[in-house]
Order: sequence, then structure tokens, then C-alpha cells
Amino acid sequence: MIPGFDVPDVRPGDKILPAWRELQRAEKAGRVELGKSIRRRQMPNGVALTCDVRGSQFPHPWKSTLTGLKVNVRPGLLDVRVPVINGIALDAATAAQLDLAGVEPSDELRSFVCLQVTVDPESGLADPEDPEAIQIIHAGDLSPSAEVGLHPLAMIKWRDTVTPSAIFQVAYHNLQHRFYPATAAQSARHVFWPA
Amino acid sequence: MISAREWNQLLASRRRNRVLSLSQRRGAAGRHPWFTTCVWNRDAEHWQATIKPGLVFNGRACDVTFDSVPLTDGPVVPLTTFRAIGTDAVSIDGIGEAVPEYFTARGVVDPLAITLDTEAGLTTEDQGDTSKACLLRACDIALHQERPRTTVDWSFGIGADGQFAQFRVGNAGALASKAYVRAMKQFTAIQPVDDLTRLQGGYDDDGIDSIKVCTVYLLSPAGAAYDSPPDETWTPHVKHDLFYNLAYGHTSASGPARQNLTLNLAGLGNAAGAQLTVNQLLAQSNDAANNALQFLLARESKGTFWSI
Repeated sequence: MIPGFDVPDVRPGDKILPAWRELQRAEKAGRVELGKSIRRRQMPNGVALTCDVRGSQFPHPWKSTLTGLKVNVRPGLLDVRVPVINGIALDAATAAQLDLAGVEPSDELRSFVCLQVTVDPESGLADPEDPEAIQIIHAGDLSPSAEVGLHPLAMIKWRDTVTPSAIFQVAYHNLQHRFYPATAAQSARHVFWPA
Repeated sequence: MISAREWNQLLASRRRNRVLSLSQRRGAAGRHPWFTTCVWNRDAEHWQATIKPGLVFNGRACDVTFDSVPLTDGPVVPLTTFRAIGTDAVSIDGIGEAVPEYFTARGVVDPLAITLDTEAGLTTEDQGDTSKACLLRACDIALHQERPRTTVDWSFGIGADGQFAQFRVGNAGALASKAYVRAMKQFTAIQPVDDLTRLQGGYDDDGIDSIKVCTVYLLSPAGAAYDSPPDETWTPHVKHDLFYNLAYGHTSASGPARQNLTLNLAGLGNAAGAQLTVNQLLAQSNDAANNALQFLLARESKGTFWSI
């Protein structure tokens, strides 16, 4: 809370000393309150303040923005392929939107915008003829399965089970993917890494 | 004498021109996860940090907390303990934290250097004129992830055909599902422990893997009194060490099914006599130690962070 500047006006004939002390107190309390990312440098003759006035945007791959119950995802590449949302490529002329309705968030009110890769268990590769082999989906959790790999692109925080409140970016780079089939010692794994 | 009119003009001017607060209008969008900003808390009279939420995917959760509050809820991290660097710090025999070049250019001078010499005694190096020098304080913010602790236990006994040692590697401790951040005076990375100490169980695995998020530096105005604590007139600077969200994994708590290794140490307690016999016994001892070490390495709990 910033203390108020509540020094009363004076009239001719008022004593100056009490008012002067009040002014001193108010002047002492009326210090500069700094917001985020603002730097203060105390100089001999005052205070210098520095702040960012120009927005620094980072238009990285997979950048996800939340609007109501829809999420827009900037194009990114997985193994040099552009994923689809509901059959529409991310770099199509009409931007595809991911609908959040229909999938409930987890018990902690979290859900994920995910890159989903479906592979052939024999070859370990995504079918190049199937556009939906690499697609972006909305998932309530990240439970893996043998043939389907999930990689989070963004996390959505929900106010309640029907109202998303914020989105937090997870992935910032184009990605690569490899599938490792199950062995006697280890279950099948999908490994994603920044390209 | 001050006239009432002059007085009231002054007040009117103050009301018009005083600065209440300054806020950033844009610029936050391009910030990376773990981006830390510091502000002075006037009520509590200390510095505090706010961290742009970063996530740690550990297979169970991805939220990171401070005092059990997710970073996504915007908790503030009080910064209350600092270490001194440079001007009013002391370096003994060259041991001490060096002043980063960035702050040397901003008026921080090297610490007082003290040399201990058996002949010359205690000598101090002249710092020069420090009346206009700036002071520097720092603290670290680190990320921690708990995992099961590795325990090592030896038991010895006499079997039917000689002396045996049983070596047991276990895991203990609860597993916190979420990573968390803490502010501390100085972050110290865990030092590697030599193999023999590990085998003997002579170290305490605290079951926590840690990584530094950032260092917060506070720079004083020029000519600040030595040992003065940082207040609102100081300037915060943050050096980040993390820039991306993380994944975390640790070796399986259960590990390979067998947790006990039995070693035959027959005769090792009587290593005396001809050189040939001694060499044979030493080789047997080395084999046993190596077997135990490999056994431990395959089963101990180790964690790793990596960026995603």
C-alpha cells in the first residue's frame, strides 16, 4: 500500500512547524514504487529508472495461445513434417484451431496440448502417407502407450473442469522423434528432442 | 518566512507530479521459463523474487512449487540471506568469489585480499580508495527434485567354506512428486564421491537432485557503508542459468531384481607369506571390490534433468 499524501492545506496564521513535519513525513513516504522489470539506479542527484518499453516477442515454433476454449498453435516441425489439427495442417492458409471441449482436465486441473505420433510397431516410423500419424491433440494426461507417443507443447491450467484460465508454453523448438520398441528389460519408448 | 500561498503551491505541485508506481506495459511475452524479477517489498522490508513458471516433467507431475504453491499461481520468493562479493568481502589466500566483470564495470572493486605467510605473517593488500565503490550481494535460487535415497549396507559372516561379505544396496525415503524452488545464500552443486567412499557407505545420499535457476545480485549505490544490508536503493540484476522447461528422470527405485551381492572373501584376512600368495589375494580383493562397485552403480538411485 502506498501511504497517501494527506498533508492538509494551511491558512495564514497557522503554525508552520507541525505542517512542515507533516510535509516531511509525506515526502518520506512518497517513494517510487517499482513494478516488474523496472530497474532503479540511485544517482547523487536523484534516481534513474530503466524499463523495457518495446515488447520482445519470440515467435517460436509451437507457440500456443488460448482464446476461450480454443488454442492456436504456430507451425512447428516434427522430423521435418508439419503436424495437423483435425486434418488441417498447421501451416495451412486457414489456421487450424484446437478445440478444448470434450476432454476434461486432470484432478489437479491441468491438461496438455500435445504432439501425438503414431508409429508402426514393426518399422518404428510414422506412416508418411497418413497425415494424422503426426497430429496435435488435447489430452488430460500424458500417459504413454506402446505405439502412440505424446510430447507436451503447452500446459493449460483450468479454473474449474470447464473453464481454462491460462496456458503455459512447454516446447520452444522444432522436434525430432525416435521409437524404441519394447525389449525384455524395458518397455517401448518414444523419445523426443529439440531439433 | 514561508507564505501560505507558497506552501499550498508546493503541495499542489507535489500532488500533480509525484510518481506513484511504474509498470511495464509490454515485453513479458518473450520471456523464457524461469525468468526471475526482483522487487523491494516495502511492508516486509526485504527483496523478493517472482519466477515465470517453468515446468519439470518427471512422469508424475509437471508443476513446480514454492512453499507448496505452484509457480503458476505466482508466489513470491523472499530473498533474505545474501553473501557479500567484492568491495566489503574478504579473500584469504586467493580463495573467495571473484567479482563478475559486469559489476567491476559498475563500481564494485575486488575483495580485501589477505595472505597468510609463515614468515611474513598476515599481510593485506591495499584496496585503494573505496569511498565511491559499490557493494555487491548475491543469493541463488535453485530447483530441487526429490527421489529415493540410495543406502549401502555391509554385513560379514563365516560360511561353510570361508568368510563372506554381503553387500546390500537399497532405496529409502519418500518421493515428492513435484519439484520445488528455494532461495539460498549460495548454491553448491553436489560433489562427486569417490568409489571407495561410495562402497563403504561413507556418504549421505540426501535423495535430492538440484539445479541452479539463477543468481540474484544486488548492487548498492556508490559509497554505501560496509556490511550494510540491501535496501530499496540497491539495484537488482539477475543472471539466469535455466532457460527452458525440463524433464527429470531417475534410475528405477526397484532397479535390477537382486539387491544383495555375496562376496567370497576366504583368506583375505590372512594376506601374508610368499609374494605369489599375496598377489593372488590382492587380485581376489580387487575383484570383490570391483564386483561390489559395479553392483552399486547398477542399483543406486541417480537423477538427471534435461531441457525439452
